[in-house]
Amino acid sequence: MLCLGIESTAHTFACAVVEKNGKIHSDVRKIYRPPEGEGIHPREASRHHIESSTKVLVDSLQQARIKIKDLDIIAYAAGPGLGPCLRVGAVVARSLASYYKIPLYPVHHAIGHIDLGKLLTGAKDPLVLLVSGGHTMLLAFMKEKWRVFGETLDITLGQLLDQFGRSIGFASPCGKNIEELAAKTSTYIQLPYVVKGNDVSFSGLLSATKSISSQKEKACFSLQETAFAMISEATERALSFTKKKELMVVGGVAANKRLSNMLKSICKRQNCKFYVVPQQFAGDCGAQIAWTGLLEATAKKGSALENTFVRQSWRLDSVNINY
Amino acid sequence: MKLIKKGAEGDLYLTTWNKQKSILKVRKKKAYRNPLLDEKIRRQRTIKEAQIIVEAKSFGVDTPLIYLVDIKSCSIVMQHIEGTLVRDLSDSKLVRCCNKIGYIVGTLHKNGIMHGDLTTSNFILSKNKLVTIDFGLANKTSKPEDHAIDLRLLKEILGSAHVYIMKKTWASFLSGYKAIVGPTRLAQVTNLVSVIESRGRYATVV
Amino acid sequence: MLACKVKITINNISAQKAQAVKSALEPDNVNFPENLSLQIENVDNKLVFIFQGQDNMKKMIATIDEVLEHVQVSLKVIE
Repeated sequence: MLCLGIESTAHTFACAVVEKNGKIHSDVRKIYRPPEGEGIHPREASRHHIESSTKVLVDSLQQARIKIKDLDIIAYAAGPGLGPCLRVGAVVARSLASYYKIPLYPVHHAIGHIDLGKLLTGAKDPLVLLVSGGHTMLLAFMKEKWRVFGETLDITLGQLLDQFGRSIGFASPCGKNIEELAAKTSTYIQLPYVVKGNDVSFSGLLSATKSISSQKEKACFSLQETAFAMISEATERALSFTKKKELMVVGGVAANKRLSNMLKSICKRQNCKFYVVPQQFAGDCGAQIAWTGLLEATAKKGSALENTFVRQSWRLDSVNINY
Repeated sequence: MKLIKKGAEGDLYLTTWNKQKSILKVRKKKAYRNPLLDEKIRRQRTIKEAQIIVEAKSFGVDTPLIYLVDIKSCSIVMQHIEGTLVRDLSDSKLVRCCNKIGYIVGTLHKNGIMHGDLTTSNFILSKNKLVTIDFGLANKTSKPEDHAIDLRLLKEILGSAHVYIMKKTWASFLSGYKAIVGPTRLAQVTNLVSVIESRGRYATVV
Repeated sequence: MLACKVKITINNISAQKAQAVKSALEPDNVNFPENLSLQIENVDNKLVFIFQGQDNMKKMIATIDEVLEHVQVSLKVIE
């Protein structure tokens, strides 16, 4: 069974063809980069997606050496994300589904990260740390849903890194730029550290880091050290409380080596296995959507076209998982 | 001395103090943290925890007795409490305990203290009394926003680890809390809990 | 109260393609702002879009812009 997964929740427009046995036959992405220092403007990004969509789709089919007719199902990221961007993916998906009569599955973007993570790492029943631009949450699976054991009280880790990065002139997404600058120094400047039980709060940290941004490298270093230590602490608490024996890290920020190292260290202390999604698949991609689509297809039929919605705000812990 | 737990916060050892069974809680260095940051966190929390545990007692909240505080090693020796963590109790007992927890949290809040880490593993049922532990993240504050953070964490835990009985436990907690802080304050705080819950959503990436 | 109606017709489009475009765009017609509506009709070999709005011209133009872009993408991917 072959599935075409379409991702377009924010800056990335991606298509991937994945097979039921987990083989990823193709993975094509085009990322919208706003001008330096600016944030993502939803309508501009959607225009970029509209322009790139056909080529990304065609490339993904060619890479997988198949034609549209060979697809058994199509899955698209129905949310959460930016309205105009989401709609592009949905329109592409619906058009194909309707014209070629292929079953269509709306998928939750973050659950895609988690499911793909489990496929690629082999984790069975982990505590999940999801860190991206759109989410910063600690989750464990219980009674058909992913339950939240901790999250950010204001902005996400991805937004923290991105907003600071933009304030010093980088183009979004800035994670990599910050990681590179941070590696150039080891001088720590005290910044606000806010952990409230299993939750973290980053807005104070963001303002404080901006105030020392003239020392770019030290600011990046201190920002990472503080933010990642906060996440690590919240994670350690959640591990200790849930007693899970595996930790799995997914989402765009999972690509950061410093964060991975800190988390590996807690796993050692808590005697549990550490899994992190391979760097290549940490960011947004079509494969995560396709894989979750395939999993959904094992439990239910595709959605009727009129019901294929798009949702900007969509809580991960509200989705029922039947597979 | 026997190591009984490697908690997220620190290590717990079973020991004796003046021939009494007691607990040694040590906040050891966390290698993954930057040393300056690490030192600051461990010291601050050790001091705060000891201070607030003692203060809470003065409002009638049952907490362990503090025997010794050593800031240099970031350790506290305190009374050992024999009993069961509320987290590990049977469902019906848990629901009843939540009512008492509501009283306790209400009392702390009324006296300007937020616990900072309200989970069901920070309450021990000992000989029919509920003892509150782990004040490492506690703070002196009367702000409703901070009290809402306290409630929200507990709600999150009840809705995850104890999801099967969440409605009952939360209702039980709120009735105990209301009995101490009154309906107006309860409404104010629970409103703020909803506000917090609606943040941290997928906010539009600006 | 300024009322405005815009009708856009796409000619010479097969029934199958027209249906696909209609199905692709219709589900998003639920969240329109107040005083703005869109109807899509598939008749003969034509696909007709009827936009009706009041007052807010800017929003209407933005919506028409987005819808037309979607139509374009839809037809393109069907190839």
